[in-house]
Amino acid sequence: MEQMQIDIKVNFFSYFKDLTECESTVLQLPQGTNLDQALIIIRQQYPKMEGMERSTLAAVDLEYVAKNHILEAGEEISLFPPVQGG
Amino acid sequence: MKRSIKLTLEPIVESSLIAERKMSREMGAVNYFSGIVREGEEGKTIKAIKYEAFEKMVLHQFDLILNEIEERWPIESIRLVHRTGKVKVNESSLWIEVISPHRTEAFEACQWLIDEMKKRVPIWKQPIFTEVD
Repeated sequence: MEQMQIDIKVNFFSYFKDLTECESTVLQLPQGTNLDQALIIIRQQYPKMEGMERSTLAAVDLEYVAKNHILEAGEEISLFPPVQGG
Repeated sequence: MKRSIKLTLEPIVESSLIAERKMSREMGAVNYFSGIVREGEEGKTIKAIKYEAFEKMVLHQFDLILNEIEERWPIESIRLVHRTGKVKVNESSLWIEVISPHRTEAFEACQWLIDEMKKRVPIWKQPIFTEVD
């Protein structure tokens, strides 16, 4: 049986926009993909993001979630460097 | 706990914000913090800082932080304004007002709010080294 695919929008902030040369993209992922697996796919698609794991924060919609968070259709991943408010 | 969180491209006018203060007669402490853009950043002289924000998440994360403050301290109200866009040297990038019965909780809550903001709230800054408009 063919595995269902879901669309997940990925947003990039701060200098990640320069590294990826885009502000956002849409990934088609197999249903059941978790955040960690999605991040691996993103790094494969954007090689300049390779090696950035330690300085990448990831949010799903407006929340920081666990790496094993199973992504659902319509959710958005946002990737950005450590925050610097104030 | 009353709360107001704003992001703005406009300069922060501290005198206007202070004039708008509302507090009940039982409150005895008002703590203000203003974060100012310094001239030096990363060992270099800067002209301004450009702030970028993931605005929806900023407002949500500040809301979560204020929920935690409400659990921990007897605070009557918090108002916060954070600039986005270009902020010149000597301008305020962040303004906070905390109102409480006594000074201890006002100081503690304000410090904690800033510390948590610097861990979780998605705002980034880019120093600008050349002349700005």
